Amino acid sequence: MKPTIGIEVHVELKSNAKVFSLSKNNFNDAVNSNINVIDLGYPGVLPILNKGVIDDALKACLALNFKINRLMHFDRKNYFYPDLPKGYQITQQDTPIGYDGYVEISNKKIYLERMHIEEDTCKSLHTTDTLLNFNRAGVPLLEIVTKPCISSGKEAIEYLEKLRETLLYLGISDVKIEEGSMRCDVNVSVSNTDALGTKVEVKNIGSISNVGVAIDYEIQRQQQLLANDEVIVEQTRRFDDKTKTTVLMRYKETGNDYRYFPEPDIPYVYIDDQWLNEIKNSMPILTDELKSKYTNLGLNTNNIKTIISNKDVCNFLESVIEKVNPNIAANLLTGDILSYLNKNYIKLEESKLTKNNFIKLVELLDKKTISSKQGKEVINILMETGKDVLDIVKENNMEQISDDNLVLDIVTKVINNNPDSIKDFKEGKDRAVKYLMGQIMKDSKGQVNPALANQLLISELNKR
Amino acid sequence: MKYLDLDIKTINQKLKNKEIKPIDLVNEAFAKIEVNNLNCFITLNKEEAIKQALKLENQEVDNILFGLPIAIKDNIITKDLRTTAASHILDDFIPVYDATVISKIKEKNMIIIGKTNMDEFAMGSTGETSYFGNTLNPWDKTSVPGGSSSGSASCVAARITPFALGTDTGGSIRQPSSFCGVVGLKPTYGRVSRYGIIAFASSLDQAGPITRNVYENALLLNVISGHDNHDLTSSYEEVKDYTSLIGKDVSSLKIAVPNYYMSEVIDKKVKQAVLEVIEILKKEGCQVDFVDIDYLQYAIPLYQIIALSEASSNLARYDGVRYGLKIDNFNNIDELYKNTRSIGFGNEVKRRIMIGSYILSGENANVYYYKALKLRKIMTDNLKKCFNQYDLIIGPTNTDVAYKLGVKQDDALKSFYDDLLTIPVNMAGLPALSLPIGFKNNLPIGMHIIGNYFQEEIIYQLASFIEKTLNLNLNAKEVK
Amino acid sequence: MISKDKVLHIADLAKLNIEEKEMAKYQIQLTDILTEIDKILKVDINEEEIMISPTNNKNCLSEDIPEMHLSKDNMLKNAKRVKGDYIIVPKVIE
Repeated sequence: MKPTIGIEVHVELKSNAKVFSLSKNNFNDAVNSNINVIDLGYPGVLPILNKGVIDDALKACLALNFKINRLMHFDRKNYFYPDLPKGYQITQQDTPIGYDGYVEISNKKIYLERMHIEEDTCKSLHTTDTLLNFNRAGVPLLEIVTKPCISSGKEAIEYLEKLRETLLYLGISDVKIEEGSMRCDVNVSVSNTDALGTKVEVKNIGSISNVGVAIDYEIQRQQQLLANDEVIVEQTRRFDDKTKTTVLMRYKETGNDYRYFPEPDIPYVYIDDQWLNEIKNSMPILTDELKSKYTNLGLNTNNIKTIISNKDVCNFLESVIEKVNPNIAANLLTGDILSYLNKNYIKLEESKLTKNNFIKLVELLDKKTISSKQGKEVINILMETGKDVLDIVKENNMEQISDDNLVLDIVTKVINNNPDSIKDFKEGKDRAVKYLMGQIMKDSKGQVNPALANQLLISELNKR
Repeated sequence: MKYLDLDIKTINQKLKNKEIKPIDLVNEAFAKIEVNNLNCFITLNKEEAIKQALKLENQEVDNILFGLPIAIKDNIITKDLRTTAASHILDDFIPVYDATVISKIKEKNMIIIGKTNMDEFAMGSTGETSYFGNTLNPWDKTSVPGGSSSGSASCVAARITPFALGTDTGGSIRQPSSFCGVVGLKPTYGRVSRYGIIAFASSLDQAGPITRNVYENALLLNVISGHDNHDLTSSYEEVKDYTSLIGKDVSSLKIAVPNYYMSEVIDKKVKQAVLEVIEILKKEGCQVDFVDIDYLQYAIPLYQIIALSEASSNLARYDGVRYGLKIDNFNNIDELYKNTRSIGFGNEVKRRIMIGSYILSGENANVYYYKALKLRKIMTDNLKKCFNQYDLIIGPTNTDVAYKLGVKQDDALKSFYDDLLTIPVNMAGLPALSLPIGFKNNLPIGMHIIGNYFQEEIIYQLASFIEKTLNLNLNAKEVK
Repeated sequence: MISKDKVLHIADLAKLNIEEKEMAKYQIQLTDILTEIDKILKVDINEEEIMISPTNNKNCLSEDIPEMHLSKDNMLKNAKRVKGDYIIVPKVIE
């Protein structure tokens, strides 16, 4: 019994202004403060069209390999609901800005049917009454719809993570599913024939991992129904976070008769080559490109994964990568620096780490001026105080002695003071070297470069 | 005190000479409203108008419309002045902004006397669908004034105000102007901003001037025209001086008379009046040809599909939540919606919303709506083709003069037939004017002059020539 | 003749109550108009382009810069049911 899954994602764009009015796009501000007559659907008002939103949508089109409808219009989707001020939503039904796109996940392409621009509804708060906050009304949304080509919860998760990562790196959305700036509805159908099964929609899924849980639950539920020769009814269900199951949602009485028609208040938008080229030239580097770049630089897979999934860390690395040893830099960032940030619940840009200091630190480690153990100490001080790396190293006497002559002086002195050890060495006793190294470190207060000292010690002993 | 019967140039001169003050005009207008008793107004702006008139006494008379009274159709949004669209559902609605046309007339220091009566949400052609009762025609109080800009046309005909603004979706400026013997222009779609015009059918609506004569009509168009960032469909086309061709020679004008406009459905006397004008024009040297323009015959079904579908969507916002009629009998959101809208809307509006919803419902959108949009394109192309050869199209504005009150009330179909000749103009987005050219049984006959896109000045050129040649007495009171 | 069920479905879409005594009138009037608009179905056309609006405008776009708004009091003053800064409606059960 083969499951077929399609996913509809709504993503809130973080443009400065709303899409069809110029109210501020920030629904977290004081209740009903970012609203104007257009957002409230006052009599006589007309929409405007925010170019920034089209620019963002075009970026998403390019990143998600969509074909672009160069000549597009908007449509009205008509239905009554208290969160919909005008009684219709301005959307794109006939000419979605993007069509026939795809996203690559491991060993598979997820085909995307369409992506269109629309406006968000206002936010409802359900107490004894339903309270309406219009700050969100008119916030730009992208709706991205896959073809029914996903076959498991695992694949769905991989697709959503890839989509989230892409949109995040485009810088057009916060894509936080927990905060509602990314919303997922899934369509699941299971069939025991070649024909597609009956579509069941699951809404209200609050995290990417739960999308997987919901899909797998729904597949199992439908398979069981089919196994029992029961009929699957087309319906809308919602995910219940507590029980990790899906439950039937109450029907809206009028069904899906949305009476779409072209929006006469907004003239056609034509995207010419010049506009598209401007967008192409403004595209940031996306994750696929970053991954192959890091692989070529020799970064290990775990580090790459960690860096990509922490966009601020990645941005930081990108800003210094030309000037440092990328491997040392990646190790520092994904290791001690990231764990410091996580421990203190701060973002990289909120920390005291500066590019300059970071570059100096990597250089010291690269030239083996300080040991990696010392590096850790420097990071801790650095993150707490923001002091200059060179000062930290000096203040804490961390500079290693790496000068051949200086080290040789110490080595020679120690050997001369321990004639018994030369004898032991000649007799093949390992402990002689260890003992002598201990003496060298002690003599230099731990500041000699151990690798260099070890190398010189052995060659000196062989000369005796 | 009969200053408001004088022409605008004379009034302007007297204002400049301080012979009269704006307050004299305002007082005269309000006095006339009481005497006439035509139910032209839903809301009077008396207090504000007087205040403004007094304030203007200390200001320089800096333009020809300075201090002149104007009446505004009540579907045009006026800040702090009740705007109802003649509907119960908005009968306590106080707007928080001004329509762009209102800002423009305020900039010229015109004085708003009040908000005029109309068919509810501009749906109707008699004025009888108003929640506030029907408007009377000053020529005959037992006849309809036409609609939907009933109060605006009636109030100018009665010389209460020299100027009024109306709106025209299928003929709502031209038809009442014709029935009331005044000059009414529907400008090119996009010439005048729709921002702040309560939408009926967004792709057809256009506001325009209603005045006593052609010159004054052009003066008001000069003021309200222009691009507006708040209306994406408003044109970037340069605003001209629309009076510039008034009085200029018309002999080189090429004029088409579509046979559709002279068919057997047109009243004989109306047709006769138009033919007489055609004779005058021919004598003057104009080329006047009878032509066939195909697809005009689908005007009414096209209008029903496009206008009512758009209306069903435009009127969805009246749900009793953010503004408008407050009702108390409901137990849930669906009842709140249904009870508010059922009590708040009148029969004509409800019927039109029902039809529009049906047309867009399910598969019907493809069957009717998209077909209509293609047919609209064809009809428009045919009209454009006509303008390749002709400067203007003329014919009667209506099939007949004003009929008796009550005869078309609550009739689903008949009300649309009033717009038979005016609808094609809205479909194509062309400019057109109605001009009084005579009388039948003491009721004015209107002539329809249709121009090419953004060539309102040529309409005025011909209209002013005909006006001057006919030299009719159009003061309803004096004629009677 | 358009059926009662159809009339009721449309009324529900349009959020209007149709009382039983109005039903017959609605059926007749809607049927009349639908007969009228059926005229266009018979027209043979080979036009593919739709005309949404008479405007020739294209790409009427605003820059992504927020503008000042009217005050909240202004916005809420026409609303009939208000709680704090919220406009309220009867609870919508999800």
